Amino acid sequence: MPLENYELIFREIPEAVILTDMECRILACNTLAEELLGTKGEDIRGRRIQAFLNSPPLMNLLDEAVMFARVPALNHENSVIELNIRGKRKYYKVSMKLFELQDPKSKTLLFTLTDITIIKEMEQHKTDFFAVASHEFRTPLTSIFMGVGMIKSGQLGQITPRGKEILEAIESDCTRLLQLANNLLDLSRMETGWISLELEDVSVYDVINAALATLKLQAEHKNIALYTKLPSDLPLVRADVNKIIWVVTNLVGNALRYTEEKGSIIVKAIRKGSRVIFSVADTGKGIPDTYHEKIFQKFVQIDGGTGGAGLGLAICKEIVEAHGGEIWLKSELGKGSTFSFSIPVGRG
Amino acid sequence: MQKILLVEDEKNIILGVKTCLEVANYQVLVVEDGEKAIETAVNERPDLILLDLMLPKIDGFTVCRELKSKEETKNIPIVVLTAKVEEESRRRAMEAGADSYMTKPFRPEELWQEIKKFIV
Repeated sequence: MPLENYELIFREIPEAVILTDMECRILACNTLAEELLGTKGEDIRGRRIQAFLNSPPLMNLLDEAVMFARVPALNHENSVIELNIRGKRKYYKVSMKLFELQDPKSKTLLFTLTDITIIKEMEQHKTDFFAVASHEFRTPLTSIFMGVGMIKSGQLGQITPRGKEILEAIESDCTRLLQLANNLLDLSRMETGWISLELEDVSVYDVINAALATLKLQAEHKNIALYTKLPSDLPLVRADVNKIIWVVTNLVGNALRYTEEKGSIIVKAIRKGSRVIFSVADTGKGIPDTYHEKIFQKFVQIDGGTGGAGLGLAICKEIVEAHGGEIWLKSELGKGSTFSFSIPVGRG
Repeated sequence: MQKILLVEDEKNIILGVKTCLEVANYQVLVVEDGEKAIETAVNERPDLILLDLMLPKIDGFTVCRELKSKEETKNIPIVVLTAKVEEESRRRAMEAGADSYMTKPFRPEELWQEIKKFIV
């Protein structure tokens, strides 16, 4: 292809492409970038990019790139920037590349801005929808809980043992519906980065005790031995205490659901380098290999499962990853499953 | 007999909550919009107000602020009963002067317990 065609292609790439030297002076930019900078038809070569883009987060990224001559680690959070383009709020994903030009020989920074406003808007619609749905669930659930509770109390007239059993079944299924509504809301918030973690140095013992406190009775009820195996010298972990308690509670709750009577569940924690690894091992029927990867995805249920919505583990994963940790599963059919996750140790 | 004003526009919730309160020997007044809530609170001086936030005419936040700014109603405890679970709503309600914030759904025991914090 003739060289001029490459130039044409560069101009017309449907993303904003900007090339600067190591002092952030513009060397070249394509048509979309000119539109974005609001400099169509002007010659802006040699001028600093800061003069045209007002985005401190983007400037921090560029500064870091030119200062250390290295592309900064980009993630879901720091690579998305917000720009005000002619009065409209737009979102862009930043990608960067450092390389050497041939003529004249010099280091260059190439970066692209991809318009992801539509994706951001869709995420927002989704979150809004879940908020509305969660609200719409709560109102009818209130009258059901109140009504069932009043009848069950016997204060409105005597009820038969079978009647009481039915009321209890209604109550427990309503609790499930409520949990579903809560989980959907939490998950959508986490995905859009709504829930910020309140990190502090937390005792692993406190986390595990708090999680197990609510589940001990259930375990006794089902005749399952639920115990902990914790070394006495565990360090503090850097965590949002309520969210980590939620994760442990969820994992142990799952184990309780899938473990037969007389089985056992062991909750362990050990230090491994700069992390603490929590694990919940059960003697349940195990999880087939085909599910090991996808079990942490949303709405994945195991055939023959007990009818959850398949959101709990997806939320666990979101929470653990937000802490900078990982979550994984080891399981053997017929022998049981062990869910583990890691959390960084505290700073104290 | 102590008097509770229930401000709620959902018929089915009114039925459940009213029953729950009457069984516990409270006298219950029910109004279904924010305007009547203020009017009734001023005229009837209930011992406690259970207040929904999303109401016709005047919303619950405004009702709360109005009642807490009036000499004759400012000492009546207000327990917000709402399906709004967002922290932001809780903060706004407390700023508007609510004494307590309960999210829906709740069970009869939870409601009794909450009320007992304010009236014996």
